[in-house]
Amino acid sequence: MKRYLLLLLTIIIFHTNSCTPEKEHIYKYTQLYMNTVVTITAVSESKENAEKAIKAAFNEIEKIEQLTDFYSDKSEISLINKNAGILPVKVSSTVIEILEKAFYISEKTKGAFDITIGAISSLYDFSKKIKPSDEEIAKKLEYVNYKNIIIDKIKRTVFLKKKGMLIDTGGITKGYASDKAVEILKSHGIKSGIVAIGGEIHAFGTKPDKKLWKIGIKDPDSNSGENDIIAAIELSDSSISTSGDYQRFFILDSKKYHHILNTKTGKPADSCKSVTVIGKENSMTDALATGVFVLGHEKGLKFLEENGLYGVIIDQENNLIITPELDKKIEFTSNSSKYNKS
Amino acid sequence: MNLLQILQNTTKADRILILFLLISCFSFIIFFNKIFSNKQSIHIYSEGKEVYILSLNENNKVDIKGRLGITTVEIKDKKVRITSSPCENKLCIKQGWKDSGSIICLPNNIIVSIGEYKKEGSGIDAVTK
Repeated sequence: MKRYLLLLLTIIIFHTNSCTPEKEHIYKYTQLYMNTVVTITAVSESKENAEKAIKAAFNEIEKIEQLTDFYSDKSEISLINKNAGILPVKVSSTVIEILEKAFYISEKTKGAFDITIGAISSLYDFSKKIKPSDEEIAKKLEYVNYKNIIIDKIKRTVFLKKKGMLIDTGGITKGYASDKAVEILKSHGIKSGIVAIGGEIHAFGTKPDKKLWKIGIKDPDSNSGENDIIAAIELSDSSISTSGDYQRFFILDSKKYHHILNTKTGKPADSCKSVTVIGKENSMTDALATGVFVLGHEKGLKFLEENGLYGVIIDQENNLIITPELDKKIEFTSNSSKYNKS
Repeated sequence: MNLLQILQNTTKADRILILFLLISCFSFIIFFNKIFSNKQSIHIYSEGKEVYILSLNENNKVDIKGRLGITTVEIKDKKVRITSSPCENKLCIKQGWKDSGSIICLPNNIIVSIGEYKKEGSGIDAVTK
């Protein structure tokens, strides 16, 4: 009898101590980089290996931040900006790669995404509610043109043709860094996980229960919390990014001034509330979310369709537009009912 | 010998012990689900490390050592705020009381994350925002 009781006791203890039948576990760590919250999730059988991989991924993100920080005098981006119109600057292969990707998206979006917007975005201060006058913007518009960035891949130099130009890679760096962090995790033997730098998310592999990663899309009109979502989508080996007018903004004289600037006018793009883009590389979805936001809901939707990308656009008239085929993959929450789905 | 026969062969003391063990196990699971469920918990991170998991339902005040010094977090009436911080602009304090989302102090490298996701987001692994 005692034998059976012992067996029963063992079963109960085993049951209580094993939450999941899988050997793999999810390890999740959060750090602050690039002025945002960075969360890395890794699935591994070994805590030690997961922590080692995550630490290496965080180091990679920090390295990219140091190279590209627009506001740091020590970054290579600042060095390029300081030498605008003066001389080409020798930079790392990382910066060359980021600039080439940015250039590619600028070409694809016909300049709707353009890192030379830095000449105008630097005139805004969203924490102090400072915006430039129309005259100040008009003076700086001549410096906004990605075609004036000269990248010499062989010599590894970058030259901005006009003195006064400023490049700000903030619209692509987080996505790029998440792609690189995923590469680092994989090189440490991690087969699945998520790198989320703010809202730039790169998911790979599957969860220990073999289900896909479920990613929520923020409700742009939510006042109650940053994690209120309008929809969720299951992803694996994909990236997702969102650009919204709620991320950095201030209200002045009843008008909203947000950080996504129209590269043609230098003023906040006024057609969309939020744009979500789904694709393979996070550097691309990051930049394209901004580019499509600037293009506006009509041109933006057309762009996504023509380029075979999935996307969700919420315009200023509260129309919620999704690309064809996405309706089979997306799951809406009740928060989405306030938007007109089309 | 099947389960029925086993049970027939048990003494009253054995049955009480089995019942006690089963109740203990279920109470343990229910207790931890209630206390540490995402909807009710506050996760505080300092320099990337989780230093506190607190309940949003219990009034509390804690000091957390960050990169620059001590940040004080207060929980009251199911809301949380930062009451003091060594950072220069005090943007974290200016965010005031929050009952969802997170409060971040970049200079002192402190994150106060309230719950994880809303009801409908349960099972969500990350949010693009």
